Amino acid sequence: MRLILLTTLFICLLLAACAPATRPTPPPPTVPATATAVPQPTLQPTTPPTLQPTTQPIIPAGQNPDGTFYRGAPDAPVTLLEYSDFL
Amino acid sequence: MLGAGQEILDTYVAAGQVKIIFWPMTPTGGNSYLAAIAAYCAGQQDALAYWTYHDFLYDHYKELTRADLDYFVDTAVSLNLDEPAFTTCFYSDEAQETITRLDAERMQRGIQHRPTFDVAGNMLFGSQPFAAFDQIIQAALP
Repeated sequence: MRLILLTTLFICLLLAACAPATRPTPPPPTVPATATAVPQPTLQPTTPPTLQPTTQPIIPAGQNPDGTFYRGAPDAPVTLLEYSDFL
Repeated sequence: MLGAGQEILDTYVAAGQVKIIFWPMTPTGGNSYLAAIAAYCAGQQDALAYWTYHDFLYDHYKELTRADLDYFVDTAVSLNLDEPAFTTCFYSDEAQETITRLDAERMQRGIQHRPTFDVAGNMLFGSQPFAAFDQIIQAALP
């Protein structure tokens, strides 16, 4: 009888000790959720794309024979050519 | 394209109605030239990476005037690009010649103003609000 009580007590303590340890995992997903609203990666551009497929469609991209790059459907009816520099 | 860019992407590019082409201008040489080469080399690994690199440079343009060669390599690494492949491309004659050729062709076309937009044959000079693009795109769509 005492053994059963002790075992039960031990299991209860074990459960109590383990419970909080598994709880703190949920918060992380809420942090990137805000990042999906403003897709401006700072130094980690890899994280937003993986989280965005559901909210933002992946826009196709490719390289033209002249060496420039495009984004959008290759057969889009309107082409917007931007001449600019990065500075 | 600054502010209008995201709206054009969301409204027209995502819908498959508009395709955006970026033509690098490098009139001032220096880091303008290096940035164009760096983006080109990102694109040699993956066309989507070209735009990731392009967007990164746009978001960090204030840092670019003081950037050194390592800055462009470090940026490639931070964007998970293959560093040896990027570096090889970055210092290659092929990449430099491509950017030089594109700038020469841009001059031949008489494009001097930064930025200049050619939207379905309609020229726009300088940064423009979304409405300016919107009007032309609407008229050009079938």
